[in-house]
Amino acid sequence: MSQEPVMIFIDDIEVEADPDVTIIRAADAAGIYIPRLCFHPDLPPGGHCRLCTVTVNGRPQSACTFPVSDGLFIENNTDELNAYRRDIVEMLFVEGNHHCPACEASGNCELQAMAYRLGLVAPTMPYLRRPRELDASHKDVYIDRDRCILCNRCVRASEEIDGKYVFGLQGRGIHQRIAVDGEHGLADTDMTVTDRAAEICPTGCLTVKRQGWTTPVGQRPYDLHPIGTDIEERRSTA
Amino acid sequence: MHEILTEITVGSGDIESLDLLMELGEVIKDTSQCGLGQTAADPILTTLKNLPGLYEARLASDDFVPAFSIDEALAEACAITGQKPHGKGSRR
Repeated sequence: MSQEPVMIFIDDIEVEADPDVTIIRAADAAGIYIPRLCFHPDLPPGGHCRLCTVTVNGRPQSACTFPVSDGLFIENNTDELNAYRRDIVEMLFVEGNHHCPACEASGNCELQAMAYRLGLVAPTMPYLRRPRELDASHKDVYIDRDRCILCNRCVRASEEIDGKYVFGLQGRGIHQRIAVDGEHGLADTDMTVTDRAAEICPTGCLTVKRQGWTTPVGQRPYDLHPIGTDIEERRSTA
Repeated sequence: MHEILTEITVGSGDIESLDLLMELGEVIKDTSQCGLGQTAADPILTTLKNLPGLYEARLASDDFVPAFSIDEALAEACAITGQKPHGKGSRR
């Protein structure tokens, strides 16, 4: 079915978009970066992290779930929205225990890179210090819930790509945790190291064992370019 | 937010915790997905706006209340060495 493209405005830039995509995909295609953590191009949108919140015709909406339609007026890169995003990232930091300097994902962590991009130097909010369990039962993959930001990516990847339903979310609100479909932890599930879910974690929560620190500092993905640069380059070269 | 509010009600909050409370409330209100989240912060935000006196009356009076007395902690060392602390952090 061929449909006419629609025109939307993101930060006063006119963007042509397919009518059946969401705002974040239209912006990505046009080379405009909307900060995000839970969104992944290979997965259905979740709308969990709230980082991609933009204003659509003046109302806050999550760009990963909102479908485009003709003439939408979208604000993305404003001081107010970026301040919200910084606060959200800060809350994620103080809610968990993100020990960046000792973490295998450092330099390849979307949460860390997002904090740098948004200018979050050090958290000022009080740390919650809630107990979160580590699951190292599996021979190839471990879960460190201290580093989980509840983006739901592993849940969706396991369902949609691996077809396994290994992960799920358990509990509500501040007590929510990643749960696994196995009585004695991850080892009891049919998770394998080749699963997409094993590498889709934006932080160091779900990590493949024996692969840490193989990339030298300085060559890690976010060492040289802030997160989102790859998308923004599409615009400058287009 | 609950922790900050607890801090204020027991009388150990400072003026900055009010600002943080307000800021967090606005973030939650504007970025929430559903009506529950969009209104969850309202009780605190509206009382902060309309009845600020109730909050301010419970704030700690001093800007900064140290958790321990540096002079008491150093008293023994001072007595042994016969020296008094000096420098930036000293209160003398």
